[in-house]
Amino acid sequence: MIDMFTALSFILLTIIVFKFSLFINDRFKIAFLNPILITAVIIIIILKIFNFTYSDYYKGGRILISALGPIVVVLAVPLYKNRHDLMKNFIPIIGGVIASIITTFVSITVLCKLFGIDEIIFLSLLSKSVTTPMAVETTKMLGGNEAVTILAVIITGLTGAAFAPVVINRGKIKNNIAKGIGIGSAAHALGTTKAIEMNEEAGAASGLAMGVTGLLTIIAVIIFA
Amino acid sequence: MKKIFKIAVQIAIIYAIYWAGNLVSSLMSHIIVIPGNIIGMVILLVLLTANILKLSMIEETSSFMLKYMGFFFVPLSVGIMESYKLIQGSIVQIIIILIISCILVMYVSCKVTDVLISYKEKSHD
Repeated sequence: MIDMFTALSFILLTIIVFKFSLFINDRFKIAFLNPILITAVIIIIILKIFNFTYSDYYKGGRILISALGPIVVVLAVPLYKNRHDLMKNFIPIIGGVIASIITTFVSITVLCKLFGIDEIIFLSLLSKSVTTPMAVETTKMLGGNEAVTILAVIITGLTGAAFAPVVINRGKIKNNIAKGIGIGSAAHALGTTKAIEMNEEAGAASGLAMGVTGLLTIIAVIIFA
Repeated sequence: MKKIFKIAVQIAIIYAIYWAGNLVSSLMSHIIVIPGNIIGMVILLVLLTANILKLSMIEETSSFMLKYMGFFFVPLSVGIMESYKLIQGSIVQIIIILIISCILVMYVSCKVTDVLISYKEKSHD
């Protein structure tokens, strides 16, 4: 009974803080601020102030997390609405996704060498652009640490959602499908939230890129590792 | 009342597809791991394309879910307050690595797709 009350209170808290963050986001229009990050930071501060642990918050949090499964399923809707444009660009899309996987591998390898990162952590970062369940599986095959991978996936997703508008403006990316493929293949479902916000076509491409990137990453690991 | 019933049916359809996705995923798991939600996405796409499921049968609920998708990522992000301890020693370096890599990957992937699309459009003209 008390657990139930705790869970509902934390869900309510999350809704209120998220509403507030949307308002802050609209008001100040700072590119790298995004409502998910603002909400998470405020909630962490509140939990720390009142001496709650993450496992207290997780009682409510896990109910919200469980909705992520069906949400990924409905990404099929924008995909369906834009299926003709996406099919027409099959080769550019596959090209973009392969470019993304190669860039991930090269950049993580070079940067980890540069910063002198442990082998285990390096292996755990390689799948950071892939949606969580696929990333965990990739890390298992590579022999990394799964918990580090989950953390890396979330940091990457938040980064992707935050920097997507900047990358697209500075990079002068005009085509909506190209925008979505870049966002989805770099920052999975969390980035896709930003792509959907931009327009439906970019959202559709991003959802598609997320699936294809995950699949090709796992296949690449099976072949090369 | 009718509206509530309609939304309930829509939610049930979406969950049923999600569960079907999970089932297929667990059956395939010893060959290749594809998450149930991704398989569910493919199943829904096939049902819509084959006209077995009409878009209107799930439209309100799915657009609501997609509109507030970001909200459901908040608890995972709050989880950083625990899991950062795993990489405490090199957290700053790792965050820098992830940010640089993410921006680079996104830029390269956008650019390659963009160039390939405009190349294809030109060659068709």
